[in-house]
Amino acid sequence: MTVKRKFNAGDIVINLVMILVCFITLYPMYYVFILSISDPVVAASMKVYFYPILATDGKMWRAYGYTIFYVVANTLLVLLTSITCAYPLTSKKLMGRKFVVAFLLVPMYFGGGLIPSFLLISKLGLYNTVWALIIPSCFNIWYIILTRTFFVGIPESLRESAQIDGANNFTILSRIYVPLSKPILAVVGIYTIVGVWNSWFTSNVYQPDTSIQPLQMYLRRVLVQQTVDLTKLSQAEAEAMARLKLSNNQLKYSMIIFTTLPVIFTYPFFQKYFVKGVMLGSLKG
Amino acid sequence: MDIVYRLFYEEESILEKKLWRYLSVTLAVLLMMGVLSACATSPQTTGSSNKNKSKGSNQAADKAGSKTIHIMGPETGNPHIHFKDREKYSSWKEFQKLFKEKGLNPKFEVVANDQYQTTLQTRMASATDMPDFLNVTGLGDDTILNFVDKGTILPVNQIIDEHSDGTAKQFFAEGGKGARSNALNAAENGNVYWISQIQATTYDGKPGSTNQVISVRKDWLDKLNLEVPKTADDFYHMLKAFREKDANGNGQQDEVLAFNPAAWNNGIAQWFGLVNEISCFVIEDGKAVSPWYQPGIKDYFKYLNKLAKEGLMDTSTIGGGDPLDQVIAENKAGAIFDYCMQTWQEPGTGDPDAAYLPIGPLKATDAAEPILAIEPPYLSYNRWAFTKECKDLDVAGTLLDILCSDKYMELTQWGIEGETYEVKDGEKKLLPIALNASWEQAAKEGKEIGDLIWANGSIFPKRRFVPMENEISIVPEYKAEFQRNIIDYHPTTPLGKENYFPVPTQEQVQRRLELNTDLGTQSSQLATQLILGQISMDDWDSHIQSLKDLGLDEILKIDQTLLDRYKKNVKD
Repeated sequence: MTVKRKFNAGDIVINLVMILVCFITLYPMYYVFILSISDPVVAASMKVYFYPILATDGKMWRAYGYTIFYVVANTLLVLLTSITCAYPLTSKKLMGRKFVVAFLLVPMYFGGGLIPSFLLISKLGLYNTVWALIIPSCFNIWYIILTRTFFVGIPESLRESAQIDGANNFTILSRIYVPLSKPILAVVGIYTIVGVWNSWFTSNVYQPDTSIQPLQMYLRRVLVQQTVDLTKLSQAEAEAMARLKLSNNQLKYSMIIFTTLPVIFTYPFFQKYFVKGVMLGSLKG
Repeated sequence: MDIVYRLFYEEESILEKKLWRYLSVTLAVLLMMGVLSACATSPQTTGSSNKNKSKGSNQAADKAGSKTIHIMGPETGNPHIHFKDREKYSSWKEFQKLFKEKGLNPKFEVVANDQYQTTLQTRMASATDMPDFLNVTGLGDDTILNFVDKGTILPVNQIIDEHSDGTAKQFFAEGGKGARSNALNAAENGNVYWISQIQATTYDGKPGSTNQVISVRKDWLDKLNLEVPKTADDFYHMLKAFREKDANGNGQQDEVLAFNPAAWNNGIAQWFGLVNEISCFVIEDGKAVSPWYQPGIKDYFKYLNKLAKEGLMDTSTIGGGDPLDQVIAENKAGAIFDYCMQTWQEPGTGDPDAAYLPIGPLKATDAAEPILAIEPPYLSYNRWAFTKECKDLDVAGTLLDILCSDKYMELTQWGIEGETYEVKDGEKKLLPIALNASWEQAAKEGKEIGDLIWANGSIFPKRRFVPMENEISIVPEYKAEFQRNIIDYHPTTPLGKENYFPVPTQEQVQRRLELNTDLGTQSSQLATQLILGQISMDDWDSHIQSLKDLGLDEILKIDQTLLDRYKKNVKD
């Protein structure tokens, strides 16, 4: 038997607060969206554009393609490295396991700094190549620790049973651990997707070649050009910048919407595992 | 056991098996590509990879006998004309001939304008992949002097003395077109470590310059039958009338003065005789002074306070940036601050009739004469330097000779005869394609002066010795008239005091860095609070004391030392 609950004043207040929170969250997006489809000069006049600049902007599409490539490659490699590194660390038979875990923690908290990293990337021949954005970031210690913590929660008896049935470590990992770890892999996956999608700094440092840069660098370029103080430039430079600013007026809003939507749409696909994974990871971390 | 059985033998695992296989293949391919790529260089770069690093001037001459020089700089800031498209311009083809004649084979690395500073800083700091010659404008004074100390940057004067064919030497020698620039770039030890771009403008054969002033909506004045303001008081009444009579016709009283009062360079401050930086000088006077110490300061704050109180000034524009652009884009700006001959703000208003008329400098107080903020007639700015990677200094000397040659200057400022300029009565005049045609059209036709293709802060330094008559001829007559009338106006303050400051010493740089941040913040904060009436003018002495405590007098002293050194170095 179900008991019908009365809708009381408290519920009204809670709902009103929730509506207010939704409004505060969504209004900036609504505002940017409206500006993105408006005339660059008179945003208030609401002359609707169907993203005309973006549709014909070859550079933007190329940057989009590279972003997708970086996201796919990074996500696959991060998942691969996280799984393969986390699995041996769950085995109690692994010699020096505690030392390895402690050893991993050091670079997680202390980085080498920009210039040593730059030297490394440069000496490895990755500077100004697409791999500067893939190889160094495909090994994430935090995700390894997270995955390992999840793996530790899987009963040891499953591994032993599989071993009795003749499974080797690779089989145990691929047939037992990975399928049972979908929640944590979803978390690692979505964190990586969002992180790579939004990142521009690494490209800014390691990729002077604009033809291989991701979408966020393209967006940043548009936004940076908008913030120039014209009164600090010589007349010739001010003129060039002023015209660029004007033509970028609407473009920047279109770009913000265009770059944000794919990531927003990613969440629902992972939601099933995401909440569970985050909870598990955090509780046992 | 049940789970194990299911995972091993149930049908659904067949799908997973396939998925796993595809995943493995994809990863293997990706990793292979990564390894291959790491071993190879990027095919898309123009010379930035490690492999190209060795391609400096230290390389042996190529088959044609020409020597390679690796040059790095930012892409032009122009929306249509880019250095990477240089091959389509006749000016560039002519420029290339200069390199060929001198036996140089330049290899360029062009980095996006907004990204250049990061690239420059990381490459220089790590001493990796450095080019022979590069634009080092993005390095601060302290950083560049550090590189000088470490020997990363080579002294240009020594290259000129020992490796130039005489062209560069003559250019920078006393009486040469680059003499003043050379004097400005001289460090205290007498060495010169970089060259700059030079822009010397003349009007009627004499040094002349443009300026930044307040401009008002001429179309609104005409529409409301108002007089052009002649004093600061008239200006106040004009703003009031714009508002009360709804000059933009949107039914709201929202017309305002759109400028950034947090900066001293704002036009109105200059009406009150104030210099345009926290420490600057009146050119005719040559004494470092702060606006805080000038006699018109209190009247200035009272005036702005009145405008703010009555809503005639949009306080959201304090600090400039997006809010300022927005006010103009919403067609609310009855007055703006910009170059007097600007023509780029009007399209931004969305009003086809919009016309900004430059005014001033207006009389605002009995305490001081209004001053004018001018772009110095002789501009020497930005920096290009040779690095220690440049082993063959003859190559460096040859490049300097090219950049100081008459042909280079002609290509940079005039382009190609018959295409971008013509000669009439013995005088050169830019043709419409280089003077007032759209950049889009110039890019389409491949006809443009070198300044826009490779100079103007980009790969090579600008050399521009063009009479202002060219620019004046293409702006609306009311702007041209203002420029002509104000050309001899005094007193003036410079837009960019660095054009009068030689290279500071390490200690001066360090001290300025230590003081400027806090002092600048305190100054802007005080000014904003006084304008908005948040603090009282009655506590004036304590406000000034707070600035003194942060080193205002010391900054003035450093600037005065530099100014004196400049006066000593430059003899005209």
